[in-house]
Parts: sequence; C-alpha cells; structure tokens
Amino acid sequence: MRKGKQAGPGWLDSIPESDRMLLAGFFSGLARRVVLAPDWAARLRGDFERAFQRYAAMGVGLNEGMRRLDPSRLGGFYARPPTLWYPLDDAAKIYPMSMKRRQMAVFRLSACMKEEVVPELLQMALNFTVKRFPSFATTVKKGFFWHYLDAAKRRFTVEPETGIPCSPLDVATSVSQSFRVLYHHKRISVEFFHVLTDGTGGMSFLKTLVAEYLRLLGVPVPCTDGVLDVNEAVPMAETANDYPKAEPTGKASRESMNEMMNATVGMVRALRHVPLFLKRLVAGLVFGFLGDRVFSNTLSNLGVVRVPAEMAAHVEEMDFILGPAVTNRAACGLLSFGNTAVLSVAKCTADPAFEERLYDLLRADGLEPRMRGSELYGH
Amino acid sequence: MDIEIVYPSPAKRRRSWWLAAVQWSFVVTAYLCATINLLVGGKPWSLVVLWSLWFVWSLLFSRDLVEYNRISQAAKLLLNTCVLLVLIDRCLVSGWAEFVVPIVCFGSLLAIGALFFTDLSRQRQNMMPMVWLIGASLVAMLVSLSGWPAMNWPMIVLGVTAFTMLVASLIVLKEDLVREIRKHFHTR
Repeated sequence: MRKGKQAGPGWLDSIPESDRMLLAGFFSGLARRVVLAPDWAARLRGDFERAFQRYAAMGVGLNEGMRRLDPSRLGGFYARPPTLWYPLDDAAKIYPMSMKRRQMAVFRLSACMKEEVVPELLQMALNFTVKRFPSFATTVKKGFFWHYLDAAKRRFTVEPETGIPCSPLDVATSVSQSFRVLYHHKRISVEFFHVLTDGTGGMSFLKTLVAEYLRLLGVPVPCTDGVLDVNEAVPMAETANDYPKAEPTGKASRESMNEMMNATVGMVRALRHVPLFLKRLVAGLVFGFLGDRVFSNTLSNLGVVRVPAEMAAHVEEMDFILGPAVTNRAACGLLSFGNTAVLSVAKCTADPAFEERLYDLLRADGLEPRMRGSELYGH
Repeated sequence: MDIEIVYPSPAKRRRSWWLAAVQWSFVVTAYLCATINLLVGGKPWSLVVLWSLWFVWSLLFSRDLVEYNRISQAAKLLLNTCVLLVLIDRCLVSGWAEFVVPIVCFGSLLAIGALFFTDLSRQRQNMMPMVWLIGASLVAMLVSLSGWPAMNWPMIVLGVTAFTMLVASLIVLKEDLVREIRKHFHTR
C-alpha cells in the first residue's frame, strides 16, 4: 500500500463537474470527522480517494461508492483525543517484559479469499473496523509498575506481505501499531502482538475486518457468528481483564490449567507494587536462564471457526500460525473452517523431521494432507 | 512430501555482523579495562570506562523496545551523562560535579521542555520522562537544603526551572497530566 500519497493529481479534474461537487461535499464531511496530525489525515483522505478510483475502475457508480464509504461510519474515532488506555490482562503482562529485539510473542490469523484481495478496499475496511476494537488501536507503554496499552491516534496501515510470518513488530514509538494487516494475493492476514488479545479476540477482529471488506465490495454480511457490528458502541466488558475469570475446558487439562491460572493471578497480585524495572530485570534473568526450554512443543487449537454463510461463500480457507520461540522445536496452531482443518507448524530449525513424522502419522490414519508452506528462511 | 510455496520469498536477511563486532569489542574492552585496573591498582578509572561503554551502547546501538521517542531519549541521555559526570568526579578528579551536574540538568531540562512544548500534539502522551525529571530536580533542590548536595546557584536555577516547568505543564496539560500520572502508576 502506498503510504501518505494521495490519489493521482488529475483524478478529480477528470470527473464531471456535478460529481466533483458531490465529492467536495463528501470530503468536507470526512474532514469534519478527522482530527489527526496532518500527515495521518492526508493518508486517510488518500485512502478514500484511492477507494473511489478503484470503484470507478470496477464500474461502481459514484453514489454507490459514496454510500459504501460513508464517512459517518468512522464515528468519532479519528476525531477524539487519545484518552483511552488499558491495563494488560494478567496473562499478557509477561510478554512485554520478556520480549527481545528478535523475539516477540506474535500470532497470525489468515483468511484466504476466493478472489484476489483489493488492497484499496482492505485499507478502507481496516479504517472502518479498527474503531470497533479500540483496545487494538493502542501502543505498548511502560508504567512504573506494569506496562499498559495507550491509545494511538493515527491511521492504521495495511501492508503487502513481504516478510517472514509472525516477525516481531516495531512497537517502540508512541503511535506504533501493535498489530499488522497484510495481504498476499487472495490471503488477508492479521498478526497480533499477544499483549493485545488472544486467538479468540483476534479471530473476532479478522472476521469483522473480512466482513467489512466484503461489504465494501458490495456483499452485505450480517453481524452474527463472531462478526461484530463496527457501528455499535464498545461494551466495557470487552476490554476488562477476564483472565482471572477464565474457565479452562477439557476434563483432563482442567486441574492443571486451573493450577497454572491461579499461580499466574497470584503472582501478578503479589508483584503489583514491585517497580517494573525490577520485574523486568528478574523476568529477563529467569527467561534468559530457562527460556522456553521448560516445555517442548506448543499446540494451540482455536477449534471450529464459524462465519455467516454470506461470508463463507467468499472465503476459501482460514489458518492460524503461532510465532515460534527460539529454543522450541515447533509452535503448532490448529483450526477448522468448513470441511478443512489447518494445522500450521512454525519453527526456527531447518530439520524437517517433525513435519515428516507428522505427515506420516496423518497418512497412516488414512488422511490425505495437503502441504503448503514457505521456503526455508535464512538458508 | 511436496510442499506448495504459498508465502512470499522474504528479502535476504541482512546479518548485522558489524553490530555483533561492536558488541564483542565493547565486551572485550570492558573486561580488559576492569582486569588492568584491578591488576595495576590506583584510581578506579575502569568504572568510568564501563559506564561510558554502557552509555554509548544503550544510546546508539540498543534501541529501546518500548517508548522510544525524543523525550525519553533526551531524558536517558541526561541521566547517563549525570551518572558519568558523578563517576568522573568520584573516581578521577573531585570537587566540581556538585556545580556542573545541576548546570547540565537545568540546560537539559530546558531543552527537553522545548522539545515537548514545541510539538505538543504529538508529544502529549510522552510527557512522563519529563515529569520524572521535573520531580527529580525539585527533590534534588529540596534535599540540597540539608547541605548535600551543595546549595549553589546552579542548584537554585535548576529548582526554579523545574518549578516553572511544573507550573507550565499544569497550565497547559491540565487533566492530561493527571491522566498520564494515573496511567503511569497503575497497579492493575
């Protein structure tokens, strides 16, 4: 996606006078809803201009384009001062303390569409969707006792996918994005720094983003099956720390999960008045000493993903990738969508023995797995 | 097992050999200086070297992962400079730090204030390092009433500068200042 550039200079001149008048009214309405730093405001306006150009190329009429891109759907999100902030969930408190330059807890959720992604409309979908997830429109900050999420007043960016999946995000500056939205051919991916959300919250964001993208393509999607209405007010409960109230599922794991969750909550309570620099020092030492050697592999299962039928008709597949840790052999993510289960394996080692054994086991069970992946990075 | 490639080829990763070389040269220098100083004896000059290495490394080569902005970097530079000056005073040539450090502090405080107030709309959420410096400067001046560190004109100027900046911040930032402090000290 081009950054900061407005649509071609001749664009407005090339359209009829009556349409130009309509657009002038449209953009003055947009300007009233945007109180951002000048460069961000120009980028946001540029997004609208490029979307109009794309609509013109797709044969969508100006009035229909204006209806789909109605700036009133932005609400007050881009006009409000950045006063919101959120303490981190108990489970998320460790992530900013243990992160390093090349090691960050990132996970990715993707939806593979049936058609090539239109970047201009995906950017607009993000512009409309992010206001429904105010706790995602934030940057990690350091407090005296704990890190927290602070509102980032900016236009959030969609990028073409060029790098390694789940590579660390740059969250250093005051308006850094703590998530990234990527597109590659038919695939829309969202990568989250784990402090923002867990897989369930991330999936809700992806579903809502894809629904909004489809709406901009002229496919209305109802707000059911985890798709949120981007125009509704955000319930307070959505941003509350739910970790102490979480209920583990599965009989076998319930006891150990309960034990682990209670230990986490207890530790967070015990440490809450210890200054952050001391906690970071200890966390750095402990993590540096033990790292992720205390467990072998990771498997995270998001279960069955359901979306409205109108959306399912345009989505080929979904997947979930858990960013690998440095020492661990593999980080596995599993989800099912439609009649396909996708198991992803992310790892930092070149030896394919784990995947090959897994493949053999699945075939031995009578399954016919399709294998897709990446080249070996760094080799 | 055939794998269909569905991810883009990433750009070739640039291995930062030069950074590793700098890191190792810093580590070797630190060990060498400490060892030579211990063996030869005399003034603990290696402490100054160690802190200088840390100073350069943390400011130039190890970018902060969180809250990397002009105010935080200026505050970090000031803090590191003050520690270095005190170390030079204590380890090498004594008797001037109580005079020089407050001058450096009030000069830096003014520079940080200029950086902050001239870009208020962007820096509003980065005020805490400046607030910390204002607080520390006021505390230093109050403590100097007891006789250590010495109450001299730089210390008085530092206290007056810090107080003026506190008043300016209260007038300009109002509830934003309170909100930032509440965020910063939250224990949830």
